[in-house]
Amino acid sequence: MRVVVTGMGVVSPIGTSVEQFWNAAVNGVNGIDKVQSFDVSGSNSKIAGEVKQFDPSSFLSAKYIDQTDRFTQLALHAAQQAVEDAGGLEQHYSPQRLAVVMGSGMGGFATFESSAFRKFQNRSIPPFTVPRIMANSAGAWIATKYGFKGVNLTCSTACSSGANAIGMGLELLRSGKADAVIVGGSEACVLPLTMTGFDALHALSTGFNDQPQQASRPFAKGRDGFVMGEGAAILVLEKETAAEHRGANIYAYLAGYGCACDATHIVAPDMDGQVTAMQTALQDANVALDQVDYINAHATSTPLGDVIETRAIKHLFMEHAYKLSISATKSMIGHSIGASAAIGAIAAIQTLRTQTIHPTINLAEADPDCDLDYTANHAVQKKVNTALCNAFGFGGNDVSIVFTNY
Amino acid sequence: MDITNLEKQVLEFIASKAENIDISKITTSSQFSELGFDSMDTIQLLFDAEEKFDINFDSDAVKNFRNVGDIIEYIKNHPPVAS
Repeated sequence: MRVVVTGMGVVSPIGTSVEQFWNAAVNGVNGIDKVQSFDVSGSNSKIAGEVKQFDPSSFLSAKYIDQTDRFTQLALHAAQQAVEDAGGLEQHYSPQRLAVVMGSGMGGFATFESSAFRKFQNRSIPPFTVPRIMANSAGAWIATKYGFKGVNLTCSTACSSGANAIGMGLELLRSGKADAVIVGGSEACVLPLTMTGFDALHALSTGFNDQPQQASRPFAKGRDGFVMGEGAAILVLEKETAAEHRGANIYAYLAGYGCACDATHIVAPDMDGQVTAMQTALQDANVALDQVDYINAHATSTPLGDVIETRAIKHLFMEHAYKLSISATKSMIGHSIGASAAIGAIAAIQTLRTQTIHPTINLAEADPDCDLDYTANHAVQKKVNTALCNAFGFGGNDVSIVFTNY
Repeated sequence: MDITNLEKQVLEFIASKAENIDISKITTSSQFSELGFDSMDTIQLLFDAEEKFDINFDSDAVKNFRNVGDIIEYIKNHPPVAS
């Protein structure tokens, strides 16, 4: 039994539809700017990839807005695109067979921060503070809005949350627990406390506050940390035969999923776990190493992370590592934590559909320890049959997913 | 705050929060449930009212709120929060 992707939706700093996002990505559009949503005068990192001019009232009632955090609103927007794109899910499947699996690293932290601030001032807090914060609220609201009554799960493995959610959706279909699954990730943590928290670990870029467009520079010389981002991306997964039978548009196969834990350090990356995730994903997809044409890298632009990922790719793929193409979506949109791999998955699928690899921007001069083909600065046309998407999170949570051409 | 003006402001506020209810149908004796607010909606409504009218409802008093007039009476009898 094979699983296919039949619907997609994305909300990102460079586009709020798949077409807009992909057009921007191929053209290397930069979504990083000075933070606009709060006063950064007390923060070391003053830049981010924000989804600007996002107006939840354009698609949600006032009551929905009161009861939801921004990360849920971003997820609902992406879900609306994906469900409409897939079309006919409710007509072809019973509600109890329609599942939702979402990923988020932080959940409703915008609400957490604002309600905590109010509480410390002895002011009352919004009554929906808890259901807005809880990490499963995005998945619960998607189910509620569309009446999807099947399995409803939320995965929180930091920066790999979205990738695990996609993999969990694959397993639900394979095990027969659902007929269609809405999967993806969502994150909205361009926030003062959250950014200060990442900065306290020296994880964020702080040296490019005056040149925000140069700050997110995976694999490049002089990179000094990741740039906070936000967004959401959703895929609709179905069994191939059922999708074909109902005449759905099929974008790609979701062919494999691999998941591993470094089990070494809570935040520092480790090559072994990354190798295991990629290897098991490819075994799961029954794809040979030399069949991989493209890797949508995790590549956050931290000094250590990009080198470790490069080493992991070289260790696993050996000489083929120098033949395959790699690119870093985060070079344009920053790191949207639990949403990032779901956005990367959309990029990987679009690569298969268009046979175009989007660039890694800000890569004028590569770090000598990063010596693979990262598709520097300009998009490349190439025959791509198999794409791997990497996501490596705090906690040593490593995930790879494999998409192949339909 | 002028009483008549306060009533008008509260009625307009309630109308802005109610779904599909015309302001002409809202009076001081309108119960929240009649206006389409379930119990959780009412809690949200009262929180929004605190923000709008710069007041903190006493948590015991608020449990007895049933209609629009209860909000108006409370605001009349309690000074705004110093901000």
